[in-house]
Amino acid sequence: MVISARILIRRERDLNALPGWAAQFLTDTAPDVPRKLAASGYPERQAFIWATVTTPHEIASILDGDALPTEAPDLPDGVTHLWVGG
Amino acid sequence: MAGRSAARGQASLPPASGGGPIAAMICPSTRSASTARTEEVMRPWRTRVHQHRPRPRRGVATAHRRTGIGDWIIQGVKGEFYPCKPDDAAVWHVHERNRQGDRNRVRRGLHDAPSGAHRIDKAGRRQPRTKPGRWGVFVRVLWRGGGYGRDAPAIAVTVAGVPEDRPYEQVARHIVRHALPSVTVTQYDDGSSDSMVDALITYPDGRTAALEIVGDYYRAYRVVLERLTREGQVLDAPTLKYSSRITVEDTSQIRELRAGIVDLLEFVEAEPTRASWPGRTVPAGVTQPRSATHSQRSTCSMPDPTGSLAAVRTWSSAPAF
Repeated sequence: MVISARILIRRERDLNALPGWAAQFLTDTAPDVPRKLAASGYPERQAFIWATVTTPHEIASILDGDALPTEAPDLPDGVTHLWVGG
Repeated sequence: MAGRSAARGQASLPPASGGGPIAAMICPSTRSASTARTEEVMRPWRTRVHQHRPRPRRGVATAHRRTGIGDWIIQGVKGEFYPCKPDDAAVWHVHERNRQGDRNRVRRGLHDAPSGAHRIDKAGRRQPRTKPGRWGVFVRVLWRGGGYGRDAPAIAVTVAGVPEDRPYEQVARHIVRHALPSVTVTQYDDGSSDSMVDALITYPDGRTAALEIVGDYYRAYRVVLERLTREGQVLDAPTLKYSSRITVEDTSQIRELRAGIVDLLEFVEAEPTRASWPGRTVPAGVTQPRSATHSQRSTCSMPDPTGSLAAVRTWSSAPAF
């Protein structure tokens, strides 16, 4: 018989880390996203970021919970709305 | 044909847990070559197989050498390419090694390191790799037709992991529709221009919003994409009969790929086996719709280190072959 146990250690999550990460991602990692949106010419320009396995755990863990950040993201020029999925 | 394919998959290949150079594990050949072209292409490979492995039984490798749509092309440690069937154990083995490498990099916080560029010593320090390409390179022939939008045949090269955000995009559009039930969300980017946004959201009052979808991918994928963009994603191949679209993984070495892929596809064209690929019937003189091409690509070669994307495939509404 094989017995396995999984221990999940949770620490307090900083929900407001999410908007900061998303804004930094759009600015540093994927600058083409705000650029393309800005070039689209539409007044409302929404970015959808998928968190993946390589996304920092403190960000991915926020997406697991029900609580939402209380701070609005400081979005780069070109982006008016933000979605984050994980 | 399915039985033959299954037999081929088990044939004369080393166990998946074995170590050693990748090249010694890939699709051994025999001397049953039927054409001079085959001899020319396969000679370096056969030489190395002789050094490392006993020769397989006759007939197995003959089937392996034929590559059609959906088959894998794997690069060995010295930059050479080998065609393999999708059910080949070597394909699974090399892919697992790549996946394991991804997991290790994530576990050690090194997921930003380009694949294959470094190795980790016992102290956990990052060291340059002495054998570039050791993890192997995957290329999959996913589309073949006349022209590829051009008069002359060409090879379009895309990066696995970047084009594979198509399922991500489909799910993202679904999420937006679900969250905003009164809107319609339609795919907009058809690949005809780099500047197109991925989707458009239309509100009931007629307003339209642009939606751009992006994934937090490995840095390695972005590096390869940038390299492809710099060196060209379409390779003119006037000596080929057909155009092809191939997908490479993040460990790919684009320069070597570009240098060797035309030779390989010339060889492939000499022995077409499209009709022999079980479950995929592609008409002769094929010109597949783009949506079908995308669907096939995204469900066949998605890098999925955790297996978490398996369910995403159910969102695909593009026609299957």
